[in-house]
Amino acid sequence: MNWLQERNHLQHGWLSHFLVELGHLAKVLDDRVEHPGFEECFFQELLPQWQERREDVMRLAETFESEMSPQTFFEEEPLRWLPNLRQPHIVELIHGLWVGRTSATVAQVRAAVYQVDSDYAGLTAARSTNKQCELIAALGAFQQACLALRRAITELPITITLL
Amino acid sequence: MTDSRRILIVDSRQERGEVLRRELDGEGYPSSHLRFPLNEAKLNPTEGALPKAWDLALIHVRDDKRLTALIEAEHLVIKRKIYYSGKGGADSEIPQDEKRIWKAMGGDGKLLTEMDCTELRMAAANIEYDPPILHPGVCLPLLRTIGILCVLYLAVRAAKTIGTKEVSEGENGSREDTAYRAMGWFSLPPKVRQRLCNERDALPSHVVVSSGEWWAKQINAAAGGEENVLPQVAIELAEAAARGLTAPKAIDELVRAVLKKGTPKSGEATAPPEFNSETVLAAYSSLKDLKEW
Repeated sequence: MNWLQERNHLQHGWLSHFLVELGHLAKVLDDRVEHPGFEECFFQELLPQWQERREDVMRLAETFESEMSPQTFFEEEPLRWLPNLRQPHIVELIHGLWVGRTSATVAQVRAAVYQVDSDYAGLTAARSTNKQCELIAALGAFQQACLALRRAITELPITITLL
Repeated sequence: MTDSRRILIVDSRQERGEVLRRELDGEGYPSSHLRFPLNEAKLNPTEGALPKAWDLALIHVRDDKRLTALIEAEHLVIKRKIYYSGKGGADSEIPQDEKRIWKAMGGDGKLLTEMDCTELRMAAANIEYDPPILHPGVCLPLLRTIGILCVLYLAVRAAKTIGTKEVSEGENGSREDTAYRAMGWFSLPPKVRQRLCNERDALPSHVVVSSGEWWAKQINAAAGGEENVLPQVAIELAEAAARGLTAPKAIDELVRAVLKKGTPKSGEATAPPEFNSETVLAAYSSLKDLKEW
């Protein structure tokens, strides 16, 4: 799976689905929806998915630089055949400038992951207290963190840009 | 993963055909490379004589006629033909209305990605399947070259005039300074900036990047000859207009300036625009709007 597919898979596949489940749990806890056994199922099976997926998200952020850099243009025609432009310092310059323009976006994804981590811990701790209001508040924070993560992933460009 | 679908690669250029065959084989899709004359065919060892039936043929455009003759002589059955060339799908020699791979495949390096191989396998398995590799992609090779030349020009000037200094935003409001900031000069890691500024051979000299002749040489080489430049730029600017480019005239003027060609008007050409920092900055600003390259 290439970087773009991985990004689509995470954002439109897993994360969107996960957010739907979170929304459903919020309704169950609020007694807006009746769904016996869902809370148990969520904490047993769905929530732990984050532990696996967070590595995928981090990998997405880490590989962004190598996969989406305009330095790949130098491997394609016509630049690969232009020795005057395919100099290592020029490739480094184009890559370095691009990194400077995009590093904040990548940092945002990492920060969003750490926030989800933190609220994940908060949610699991709140569940162990058996206090419904604490659980609802912790779930709200976790939901917001996941939404922020989705926004941060959306900001990662899906095309290779030069300037 | 292996697949029993048979893919025939028809390419008289040994290196390229072999790269394609290895890439497809490497992804578990056995293929054969056929090149002319026939006794040089590189078939898989298990195949022996040339098999008659093929699910898919990947044909270099220049080998199409020879393959047609071979099909008649040997009664080959090829379910599906896909063409490719060094110039990608825009190659005028590719038979019209035929499926073609929309990516340039001229070199001997890596030609197909893992995903390309998967798409081609699926195309071999299902004649109805229309793989994305056959769809026109964004292909703006000249604009990429011009964009890199603009960045190089600005970087060399920034290295000369600003060097490793940290200039905070708003300190200098010139158009050039704005461009340095927009391209990310001040965000470059200090080590990289220092190297670009201090090492004499790191970047071309200011004299070189300020020479229209040097620009023309790079652009002509990228287009495969001076005669191709203006038509190709016109095609790419039309493509780019659909991808965010709002001021194509600035690019056209830059290209005319370096080629020293005026704009045809009532049978006569106007004087060519002047090649200077303003022309480059205008083109750079215009290219910055481009969302896909």
